[in-house]
Amino acid sequence: MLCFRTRKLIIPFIEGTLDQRRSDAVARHIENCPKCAEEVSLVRLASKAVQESRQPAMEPATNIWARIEREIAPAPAPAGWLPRGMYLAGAAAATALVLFVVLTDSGVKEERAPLASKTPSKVAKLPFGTPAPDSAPSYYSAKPSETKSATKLRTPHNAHRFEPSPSHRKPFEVAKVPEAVTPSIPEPAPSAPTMGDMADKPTLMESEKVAIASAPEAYEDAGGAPRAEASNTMAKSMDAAAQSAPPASISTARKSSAKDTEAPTPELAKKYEQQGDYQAAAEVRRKLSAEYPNNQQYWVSLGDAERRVERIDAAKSAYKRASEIKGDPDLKAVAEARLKELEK
Amino acid sequence: MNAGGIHIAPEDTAVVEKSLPTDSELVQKARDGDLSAYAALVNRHTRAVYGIVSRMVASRDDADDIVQDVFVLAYKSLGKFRRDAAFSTWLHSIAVNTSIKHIRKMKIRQTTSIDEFEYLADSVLMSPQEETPPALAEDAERKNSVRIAVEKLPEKHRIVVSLRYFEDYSCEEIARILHCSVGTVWSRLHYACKQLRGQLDWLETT
Repeated sequence: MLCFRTRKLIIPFIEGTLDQRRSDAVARHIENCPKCAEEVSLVRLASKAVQESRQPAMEPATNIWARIEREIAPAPAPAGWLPRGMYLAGAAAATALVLFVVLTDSGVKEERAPLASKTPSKVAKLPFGTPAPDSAPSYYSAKPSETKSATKLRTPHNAHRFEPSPSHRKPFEVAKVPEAVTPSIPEPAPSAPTMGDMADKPTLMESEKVAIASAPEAYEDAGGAPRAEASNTMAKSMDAAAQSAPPASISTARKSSAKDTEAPTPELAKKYEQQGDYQAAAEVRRKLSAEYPNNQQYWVSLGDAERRVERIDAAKSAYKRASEIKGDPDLKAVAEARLKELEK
Repeated sequence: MNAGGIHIAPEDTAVVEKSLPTDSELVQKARDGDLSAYAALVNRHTRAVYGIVSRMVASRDDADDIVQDVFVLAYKSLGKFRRDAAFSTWLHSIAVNTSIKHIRKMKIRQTTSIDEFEYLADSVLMSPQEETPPALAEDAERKNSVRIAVEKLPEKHRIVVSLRYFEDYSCEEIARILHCSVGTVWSRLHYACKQLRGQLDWLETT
């Protein structure tokens, strides 16, 4: 056996754990190799000295198990904590509340800036009676009771939403400012009136025709503003309506003409709509559109107003005019969709 | 013997001892969340773990902390324990590794521990000779110098020396604990002895 092989086996040789064959081989090598014999001797001495220097190990700490247990035992829930399920339920409720607030808020924001987030296709699908840029579909599709509560919820927001006076606006900028629409929904109606709905209510329409008939005259009487393109087609339909209107309605028309002395503003139109005086509201909107012929929003609102009073041709003209104005593409889409609806 | 109103004959104690649960059974129970089973395991192996740890760190506080960490880590790792090795080997392996990590983390404290050993040696050397017989004083001095020399060995060699000569583990057991071959253990022991011989001149004159 060579020296380097022998030295690898010195430890087990000293300890006596080496098998007999290799142990004999190491012993034979040591007898003939003084260097390896010295190595074995010194390793034996060193190992013996280390073993003799051994001190007793530390005694285990008396509280060692308490320390370990404190680390591994499941910690009891502090007083006042709830089971995990309760936290999940709470989190779900909080999420629902946040969603509600966000959606409600976004609905209000849409009313304030209605065209920013809607795609034309979505907006175009809104039924008539939904003042397109201002509408929140859930509001109008709600049941009467829900509608009421929704109105209550939104009233504070709407209360802050005033259109600036037309005299302070630049025409093109105004096109982006939506009108307040919540009041434009007839209070007694459970849902937004559609054309079909309006056709099903002849008595209401008859009474309104009275006011419609007098509108052009009233408009002429008030007349500082130039009549817009849409007003021409309106006049035709209004003349036809006037022929069929009973004479007793003239006093009503005079009343409405008295109203026309007020300055035309969207607020005034809304006020009339709230009162159910759609004729007066339409008249105000006509004036607004005439005064601001490039205001797309005014033309759409006029179209809606004309539809409410069943002046379909005038409504078509108003929508057409709104769609021709190079303004907001969403408003344009709304106008086109409603025009198409009327043409059907 | 009367335990709980039941008379147990002296010869029955052997039966009682035989019925002690094995490590494997206790491990299984501990895995299932039985803390008392784990407490039994801790009780059974605390002394051995303290032995390993206290050979590697001099501070009592450090040793307590490491032993606690060892058992906590072992409890959390019970799922990884494979039955092909003895629980004790697995636990001692954790003890060695945890001690090494602790020493590496607290390098400054380790140096301090060596200083403590040196201080201890100095105090032995400087102790009044009249209080202890000269032979005993010399013996104490040599033992302390050996311990200091062991402390100064490289980490891997010191661990093997501690386990083999202080804790009486066989080379095969050390190989299992350190996950190395028996030949490696022999080699490290041989190297350590040669180093010690170089540091301890008196070995040659013994």
